[in-house]
Amino acid sequence: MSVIERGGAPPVTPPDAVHRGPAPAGALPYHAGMDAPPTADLVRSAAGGDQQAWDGLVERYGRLVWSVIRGFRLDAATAADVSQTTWLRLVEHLDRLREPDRVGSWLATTARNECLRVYRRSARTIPSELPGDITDPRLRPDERVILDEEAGAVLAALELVPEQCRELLRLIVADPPLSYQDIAEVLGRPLGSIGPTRQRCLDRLRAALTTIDSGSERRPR
Amino acid sequence: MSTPRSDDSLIADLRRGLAAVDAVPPAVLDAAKAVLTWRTIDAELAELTFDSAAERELAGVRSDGDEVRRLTFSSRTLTLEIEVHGGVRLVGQVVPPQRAALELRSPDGSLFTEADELGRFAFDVPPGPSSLVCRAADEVTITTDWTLY
Repeated sequence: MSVIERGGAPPVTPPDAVHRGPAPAGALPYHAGMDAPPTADLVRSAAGGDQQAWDGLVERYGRLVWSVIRGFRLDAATAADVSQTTWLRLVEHLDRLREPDRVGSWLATTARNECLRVYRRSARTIPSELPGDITDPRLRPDERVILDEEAGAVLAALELVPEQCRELLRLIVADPPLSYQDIAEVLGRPLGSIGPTRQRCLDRLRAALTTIDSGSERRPR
Repeated sequence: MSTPRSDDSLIADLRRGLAAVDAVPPAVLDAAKAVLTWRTIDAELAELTFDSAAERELAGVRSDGDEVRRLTFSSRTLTLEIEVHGGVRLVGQVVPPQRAALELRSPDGSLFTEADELGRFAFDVPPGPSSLVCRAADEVTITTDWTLY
């Protein structure tokens, strides 16, 4: 089963929840089960022109790349261009990656650098666009996204924390998971800083959530 | 909602929320799967070694959309020095200077031109990512990293 095969089924669950099936929360992401080929093997096979291996890489890391890009406030068409640029660049680097098993970190780093370049050329950005708003119907994953109240509140709180925290927190919940070493590499920060910053950012998120909760309690009844 | 939330519970809600609002559009995954066919095996890769767009923040220069972006692509044998004017016109030079056949590849198709004896060439920038292919007289072919100009 893959994302593109989803037909007109009602969007009750986010697409990747479908892949996880009945697996408990925190289980390995799909395609990383016991019978899934190691990432380094997929990289090697794709470098030899194996389309199936390449598709496997896209399915394994497509969400990660998109998530990194979505952290920047690019318009939908530019976001799609950055994703495409990232994957095209990997095609030419498949046989020269120093650590093929860490291609996820390479992809996230490449996508982030490309976003920073685009972001600094302000003509191509729409700063007012909120994450979650995708106006181009071609790029809209579902007709509507159904969020439970808790997840919705945490996303609203995420908008209130500093940019650096927002970016780190997004990487903390990346799927497939990134190690602290990966995160340090992607952000270009010392490995030892990731743990403490993570804690500080979670505290900020918790404080922002409290602000939101108390704000909604004050609403007129 | 008044009890303090644990880290794990915050992270679980964040993961669920982002997975829902950041679901990858199927068109984006399809496009990514289609790019393996762009793999070149007989050309030398010229990697992006300098990009003024990556330096801008450090230099504190404000972007106004009309300025010149400078990029350098380096391979063992050849270097391509590129200027992009106003985001629409790409002017390049082959270093060391020499005549060469240039191709600007993009998923929408290719543009072709010739570099003069000083190695100079120019293209209109297509939308989306593109990559330059430079075929020099001595049978050397290089392709550049894919770039969003």
